[in-house]
Amino acid sequence: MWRANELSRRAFLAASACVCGPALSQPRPAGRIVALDWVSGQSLLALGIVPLAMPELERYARLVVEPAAPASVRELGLRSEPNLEFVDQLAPDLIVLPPQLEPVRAQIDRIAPAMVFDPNGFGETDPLSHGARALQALAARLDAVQAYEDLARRLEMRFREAAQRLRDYDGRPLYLATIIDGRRMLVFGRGSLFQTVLDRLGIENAWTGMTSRFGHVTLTVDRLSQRPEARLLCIGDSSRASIATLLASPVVASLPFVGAGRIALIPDVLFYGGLPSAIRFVELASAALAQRVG
Amino acid sequence: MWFATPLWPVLTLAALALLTIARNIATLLPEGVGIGTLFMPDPSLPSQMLLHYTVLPRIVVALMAGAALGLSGTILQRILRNPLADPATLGIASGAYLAMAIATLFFPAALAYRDWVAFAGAAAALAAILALSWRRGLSPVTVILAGMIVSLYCGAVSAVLTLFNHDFLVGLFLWGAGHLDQQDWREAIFLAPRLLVVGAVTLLMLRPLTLLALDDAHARSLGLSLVAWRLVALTAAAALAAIVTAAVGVIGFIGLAAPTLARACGVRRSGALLLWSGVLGALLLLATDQLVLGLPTTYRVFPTGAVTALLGAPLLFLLIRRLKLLAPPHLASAAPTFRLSRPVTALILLALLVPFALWVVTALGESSRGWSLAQGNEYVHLLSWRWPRAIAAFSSGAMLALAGAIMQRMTGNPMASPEVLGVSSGAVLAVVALLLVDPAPTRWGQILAGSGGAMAVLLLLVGLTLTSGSGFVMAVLMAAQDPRLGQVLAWMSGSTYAVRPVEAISGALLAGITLLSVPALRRWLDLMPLGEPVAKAVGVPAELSRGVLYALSAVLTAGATIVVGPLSFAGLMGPHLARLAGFERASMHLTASALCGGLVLLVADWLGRHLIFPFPVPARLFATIVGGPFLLVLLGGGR
Repeated sequence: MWRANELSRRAFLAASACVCGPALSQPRPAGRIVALDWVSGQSLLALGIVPLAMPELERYARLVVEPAAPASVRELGLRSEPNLEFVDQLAPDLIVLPPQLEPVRAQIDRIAPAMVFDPNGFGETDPLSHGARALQALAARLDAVQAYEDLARRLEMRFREAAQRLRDYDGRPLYLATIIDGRRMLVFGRGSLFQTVLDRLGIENAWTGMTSRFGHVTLTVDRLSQRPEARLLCIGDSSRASIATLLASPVVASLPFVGAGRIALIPDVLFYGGLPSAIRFVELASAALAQRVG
Repeated sequence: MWFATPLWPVLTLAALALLTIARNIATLLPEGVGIGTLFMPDPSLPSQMLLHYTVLPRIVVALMAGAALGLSGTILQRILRNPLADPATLGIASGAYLAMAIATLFFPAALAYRDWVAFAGAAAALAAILALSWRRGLSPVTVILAGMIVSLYCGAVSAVLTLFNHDFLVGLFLWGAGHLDQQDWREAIFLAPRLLVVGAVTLLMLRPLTLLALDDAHARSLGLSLVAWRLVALTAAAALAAIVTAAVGVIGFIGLAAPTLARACGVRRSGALLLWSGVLGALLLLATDQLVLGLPTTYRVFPTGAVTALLGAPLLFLLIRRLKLLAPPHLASAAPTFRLSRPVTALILLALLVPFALWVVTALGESSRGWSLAQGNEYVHLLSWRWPRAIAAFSSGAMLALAGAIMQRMTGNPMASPEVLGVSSGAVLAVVALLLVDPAPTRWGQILAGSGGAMAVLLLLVGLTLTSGSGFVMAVLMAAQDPRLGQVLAWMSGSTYAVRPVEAISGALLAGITLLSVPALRRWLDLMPLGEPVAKAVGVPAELSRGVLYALSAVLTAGATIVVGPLSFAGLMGPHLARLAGFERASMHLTASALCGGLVLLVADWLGRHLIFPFPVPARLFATIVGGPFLLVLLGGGR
């Protein structure tokens, strides 16, 4: 763990403080890069760099969605066990890996230079800034600082658009949840990427209780009754399937916000992953909320 | 003590349950509750709605489910003549879980009838077990072994589905963990009539149950049709557990604890035992569940099924100490189909197959450019990737098969395997625990934790308890939507992915050293299958030989677990393949087992990596799924 942090922190310092580190003194062209997880792949794509290969492409298209991976990206297999022999044959110049793959770091180092990319900021109070710093370091290493700045500007623009859309927002607190099976839900709160977005939009999160390191907690749906004046934003297509079960629950059905139709639904967004996930979430959430309120 | 009753445990549990219920309701409705509030809540008042639609049905469901599990456990312990039998013995939970996984992934529309899907899975598992043990007249040992194999098999298939689809199976994890929370009266209405009918059937079995607990000869001489009554009793017990599982998921321990507690209080007669087990089961589950409900919100989603297992572990530990551990009755040992006339020549041929197989699996493979048989420099380069996995797969297969062969000869039980030790569960628990404290564990950390857990099991002999416990810990982790879940699932499925050269070589060395020591042990191993009296008579030191062999198979199992993770099936398959090939004498049989086990995992690892390239199917899951039916045939064939 410390090693992963150390690496990204060092890379970050080198990049942002303009210390003459290797990342800046020898800028390398963004060449043949392999991403060993979704978050790295998503961030590379957001910086305009198409990786040679990524794991679980089909599911990436379904759960991460944006930015889409072009057809040229090769399949690496399971996220938990990307096929390293395959990576070796692709002869990449750089491998970007998540901290979870540290146990096989020795094998990865044999193939090509590798860097750990951890924009998630689990356990930090502001995952969004953490993600921005990590992405900036990655961009510096790849000589894509301009692309990073464009991306950061795009996020700011999305925030401004969202503020514009939500200028008539009624101020109701908002539950952010993925409905798991109609009886239980994953609720996002303190420490989550989504929470930082809500803070920026000036919307109160209706769930103020405890959350895990990852900023979420599993609750039974009847907990929604704690804030009957609230609004519910369901995230993900799994919610779509189970929302009928949710509404069939007598307790939920009796809540004022169900009767008043204060429920909105948005497609899947990764609840971690830094800037690219945040951009997608700001866009989807503000559009859905504006539609409901307006 | 004919009049013995578990009065004190019942009163204590009832008081505890009432207190927690009162406290939980008072937290919800501080202003007090009238009869009207209970039955006709005001829809505009959320707390009244919560009381009527979540708190009350939860109490009713807990009582019904607990009573049913208690009854089920009592019946099973009687007819299987095993104080450690419980509904899990019959593979109910794993069958239901697999059916639910298949439905979630491939027939999501069927989930509208969730209860029925789970019930169908449980029924299929029971049917498989009954069919497999039919030829042996549903004898208790055969039923238990068949249950174990069916559970393992369903578990392996579920594990593959989970590994590839865990993003979509969160609902299943939650169900599987055994939550009792209710959102309406649906489950209560599902449970009540079904449990009543099956419960009434059990009343008809009072006398037969008493007799079935005796040995076969006695029961038969009293005019009992053994097979018929066993069939009825097994079906009834399974039906009770299956109905509960379908409604609320997997609840561990109650089916084991309720009858045990009743017996410990001196209840002996079948009727009284059924009654008190039902009462104790209901109160145990209710009290535990209300305690869970009283926890702060964040922990309230702890599955009650997991908490019962947690509370139960210490009790079970005491129990196991009192029981004679792992002394399975002798099964008629499978006679070999034929005996090799020149076993040495055959063994040499088999050994020569190993280098050939190693060459094939390292040279032949799919890559980014399609299939190829690597040669020259390319082969040397590929070898650097492929040899650690090949050696690790072969040597861990060999170690498990050696451990299995030793245990099978030692116990005379052809179904004994390293799994019985529960070593893998200990390793799993330790690795998962490491993950909870260290967000990005190193490989060495994982190895140390895994072996520590494995050794703890060996020293404390609590494997059986942990098997259910580790499942629940996993369920909690899965339900918490931990982003690192994939890694744990991969490691648990027994993959050679993260194996490094040094681990592969250590595994090979351990397997090699044990093989070299086989000649020194061959006398013991030749004589032990003849039974302990015979072995003693010809001068085998019973305590010493058992201790040495037990320790040896434990070290081998731990070694394999450290190299490629916890699941194992090679330990069962290797020895049987060797026996079927005609190797009979201990030294020949052990060596051949090791070679067969090694080859099985080697081939499974290679196939698993190429079946849906570049996605991997872990070697051990693959071996289980392919090898499972083979073992089922072996058992069902009655040879």
